[in-house]
Amino acid sequence: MFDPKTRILVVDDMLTMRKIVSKILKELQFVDITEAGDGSQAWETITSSKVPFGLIISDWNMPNCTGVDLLRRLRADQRYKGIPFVLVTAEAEQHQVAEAVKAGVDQYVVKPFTKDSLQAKLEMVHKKYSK
Amino acid sequence: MNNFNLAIYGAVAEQVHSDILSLASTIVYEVYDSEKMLEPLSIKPEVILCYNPPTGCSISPSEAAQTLRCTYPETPIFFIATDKKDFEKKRLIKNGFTQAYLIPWEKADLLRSMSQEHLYTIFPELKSYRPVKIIDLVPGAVLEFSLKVFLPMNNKFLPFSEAGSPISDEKLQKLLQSNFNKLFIRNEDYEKFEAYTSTVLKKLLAPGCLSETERTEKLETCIRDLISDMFVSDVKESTFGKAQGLLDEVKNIINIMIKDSNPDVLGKIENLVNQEKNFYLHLSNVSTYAGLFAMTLGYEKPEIVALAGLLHDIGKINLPPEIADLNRSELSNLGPHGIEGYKSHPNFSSDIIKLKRMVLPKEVVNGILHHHEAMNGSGFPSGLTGHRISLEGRIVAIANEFDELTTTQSGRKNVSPREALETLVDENSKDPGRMILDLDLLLKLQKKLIG
Repeated sequence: MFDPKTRILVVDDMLTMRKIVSKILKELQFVDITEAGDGSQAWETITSSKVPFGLIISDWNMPNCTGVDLLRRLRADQRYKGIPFVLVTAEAEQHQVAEAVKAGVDQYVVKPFTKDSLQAKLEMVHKKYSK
Repeated sequence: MNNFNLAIYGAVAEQVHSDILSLASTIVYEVYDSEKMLEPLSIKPEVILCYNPPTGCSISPSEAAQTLRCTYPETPIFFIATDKKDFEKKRLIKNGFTQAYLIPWEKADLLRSMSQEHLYTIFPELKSYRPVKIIDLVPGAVLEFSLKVFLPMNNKFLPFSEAGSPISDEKLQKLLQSNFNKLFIRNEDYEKFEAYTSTVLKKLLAPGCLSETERTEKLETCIRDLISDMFVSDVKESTFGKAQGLLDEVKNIINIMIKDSNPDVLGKIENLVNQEKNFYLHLSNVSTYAGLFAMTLGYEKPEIVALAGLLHDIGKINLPPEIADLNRSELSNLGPHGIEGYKSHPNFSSDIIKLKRMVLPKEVVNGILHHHEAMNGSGFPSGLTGHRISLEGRIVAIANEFDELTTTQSGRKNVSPREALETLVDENSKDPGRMILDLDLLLKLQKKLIG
């Protein structure tokens, strides 16, 4: 599993969802959690941060800059293309999943989710990156 | 006493149906608060009810579902809306609610789900079983699955028959006599059960293979027999039983016709009317008569009218019984409030169809909406006149009145089908200003059926 000290960015336009994700992450012993309210805010946080992020968990549907927009921006940038990225989505329709995979997503979590299901996904992502 | 803990969000006791409250051993009332909702409740709830968040509430129904789902991955969480606006069942369920109900239209469904959950707390084993109707089982049949019987009075769940051994007629009759209409099979056996019922139905209709031509022929024979027995002869005693038998047979065929055109509708209707035998009988009678009359009148797709007949009163499931069971002549005894409720039932029927996502031809929906319209404009819900009322609606209206006259009801003697048709012609031909049913259609029916 990821190191508890991993710097994590949680991106969601809904305060409730950010709280849910952060709470679960804390329960999973993570200590360094930052929140952002949409894709563009997240981009600013990432680019202005001195300590690099080790994991991004982002909602898909957000105004201004969606989760997939953010993902594309990151993957196109030499500095950030290697950050593990988990997308949170309410709609797990086939064509959308394909779009996210094409954009380079590592895992996606379908809302509603539980501690166990998020933990399982994070473990899968970690495994992928530690190969 | 078993534990049935209930958590209710967004409502106070006065807003919750008393039948629901009476099921619970402990109830906690909670407010929507995203911080608080992330923490476990003071009780371990068996069911969580979420009423529509009040206006100005910072938390949306979807967020509420997602938050609660996080803490309670397995618990049934029901959403309850009282306003059609913004009610998107599919979306609500996608976000984590077990089910969403629009009240009062789906009150019966909600109560049923709650009682079911309550039953599960007493009998967790039931969760891996599902009910089947006894009526679908033929005595002596050897089934590939075992059956169980549930005795709620003494909380016993007992084996009824084993896979591979024949069903005992005696045991079956005993159950029916004690008013049991359900047995239970394991969830994983349901496909086997469906295969079994479809075989039974096919056998019932025609020995050997059943082609389209055979089906049509059988249908025509049945209807000819039925018509001659029901209308031509006037000896009530001897014909009525036979006519009933034929009526049942035609019902089967008409059901198959409906099934062919709209595969999942029948199951949904059965679920809706569940155990209310008399109500279902009325629906299926009207459906059969409507289909029969449509055929007699040369209507191209009689199954459309039959389906409208089957669904015409489905909206009554949400009316209190003292209002729902009234016939046209008793309506005047109702106060203005009751009349309004009663007059909305064709609309309720069409609302339920939309809610259940039954995709039906618009002729079916028109037939339902117009079955209480009157030729002279005195009907409801829209007060349409003459041929502004759809043909389907006019046929269902005749079938509805016809069933009322021919069915035995307390305090009134039932009449023979022939008399019924004559009475209807009589009543509607006296004064055009008082015409309720379409006289032209009635006269055509009389001519073709009685001659």
